[in-house]
Amino acid sequence: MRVGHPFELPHGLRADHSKAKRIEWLSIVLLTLGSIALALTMGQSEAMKTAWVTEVLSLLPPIAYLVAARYEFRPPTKRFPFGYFRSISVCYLVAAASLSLIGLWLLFDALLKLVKQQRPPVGTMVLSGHQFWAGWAMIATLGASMLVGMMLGRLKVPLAERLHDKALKAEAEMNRDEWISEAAAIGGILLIGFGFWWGDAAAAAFISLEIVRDGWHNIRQVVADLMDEAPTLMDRRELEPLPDRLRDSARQLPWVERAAVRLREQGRLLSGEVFVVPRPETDDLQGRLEAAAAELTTLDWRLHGLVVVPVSRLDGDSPAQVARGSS
Amino acid sequence: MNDYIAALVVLLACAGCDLPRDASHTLDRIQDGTLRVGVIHHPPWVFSAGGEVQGVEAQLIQAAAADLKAEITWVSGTESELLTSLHEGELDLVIGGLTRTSPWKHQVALSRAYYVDSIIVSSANGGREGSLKGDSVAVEAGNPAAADLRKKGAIPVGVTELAGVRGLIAAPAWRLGLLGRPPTGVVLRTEERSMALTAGENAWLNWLERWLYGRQRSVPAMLRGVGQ
Repeated sequence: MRVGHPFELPHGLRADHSKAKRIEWLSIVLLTLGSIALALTMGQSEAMKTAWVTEVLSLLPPIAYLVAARYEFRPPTKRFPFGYFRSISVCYLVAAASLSLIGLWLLFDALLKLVKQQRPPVGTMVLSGHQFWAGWAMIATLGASMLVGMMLGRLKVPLAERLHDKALKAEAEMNRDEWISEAAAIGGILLIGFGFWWGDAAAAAFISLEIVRDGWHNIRQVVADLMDEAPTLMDRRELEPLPDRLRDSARQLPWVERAAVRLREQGRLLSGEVFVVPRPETDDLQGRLEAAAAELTTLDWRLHGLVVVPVSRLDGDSPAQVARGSS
Repeated sequence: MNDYIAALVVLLACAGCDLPRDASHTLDRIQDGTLRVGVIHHPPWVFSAGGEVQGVEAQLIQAAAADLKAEITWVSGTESELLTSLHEGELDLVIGGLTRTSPWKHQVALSRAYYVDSIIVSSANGGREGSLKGDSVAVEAGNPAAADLRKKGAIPVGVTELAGVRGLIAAPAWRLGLLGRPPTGVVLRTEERSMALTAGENAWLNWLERWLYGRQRSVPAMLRGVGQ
């Protein structure tokens, strides 16, 4: 048995993983173009500024994802004996924290504009000899950027589900929030057009609330991961039934009397310990333990580095009961 | 997707509307009414001579007011006083050679540039100057272009009147034309001339920007007329 296990994605998922990386590159290119277009048409609209910031911020997760993907499956080293699977969580923590802070700042900015009753001037633009209200250019740019956000989100969701990739899933959600923000900004600009000056700052406040909500949601998820949370269902708070299935499979081994399981998420992978009480007079215990570890690992492709530990007695079946029993 | 199509339909329906509109109906009030204009003394854009408001911008606004069938009430004052009044909606327009980079840009609406003023270096023989390092260049005393000259390594010499100076001078392009001096390729700074309007009055802002866009070609000729 080797102490450090390199991980390889199952064959069926490798194509999905490289497709995810290609989509991330596509996201970076499209979002960069979108940010440039929004910056050029921004003018003095607060909603437009906030939508632009969302667009620039939504560049962070794909970059973080690609950086993390370079490290994620590196074999363990002497310094990092558990491997680099959590690099994706680290990247995500950085992105989520900056998202929340910037969202709060934008919210403050928008509310200040509402309180001070600052009215947004939107004048005219000249494009190849035609002069028109700059609001139309803003709306057209926002509309195009909306389509991009919708498309990217739709591409990412199915891949994220197959790869059990919470980072990618959260990104798809962010793309959704991004196009909702842009729709709000279009509303804000139309309100300016109709002479309702508060529409702009109100739309900006709504968008920044979306950013803060997004950031908070992501921070909670990534902090839970870093706190060794038990595996949860994609995108939901409920715990996965996998630890129970693992325990039942361990119990069904003929030489096992009792079993308990403790799993944690490491990025997209799961690792942990299976505690077993062997029946008395079990022969070749080492061999049986290693075979059990190999067999149980096949239960789900995400299980990695599972350890089967023989103990003389177990006070309960689940980690919570064990903890209570021993105190 | 259905939401998106609905949004698109709303947009197309609006394309025909008279957007943008004013937050406080300024344009409606000015038409056949009174245009309240703040004037900052800044020749050749705005100055007073013989008790009359004159200058390039004053002429432009008189013509614009005629098109709107509006009477003009002139109010003269300092920049900060007039722009504060404008911000509070007590004036409709402030003119006086304001630029797009004015620090007031967050309090008032600055119109699209109707004229870009370049401050250019001119040599006596019209030759292109590669570097100004160590050269003395005459510039109107107190002009910010002196700082640009210093950054380029030249020695600015403040003078009260550029007309008699023989060597290198730095002045706006229209001024060089009046002095009969050929420009070199060295542009020290560009200033986008703009007018200040009450923020949020977007119909008024759009009307004036369109009106000025139609007249921008006549600005150089007006400058020559006013300068003489």
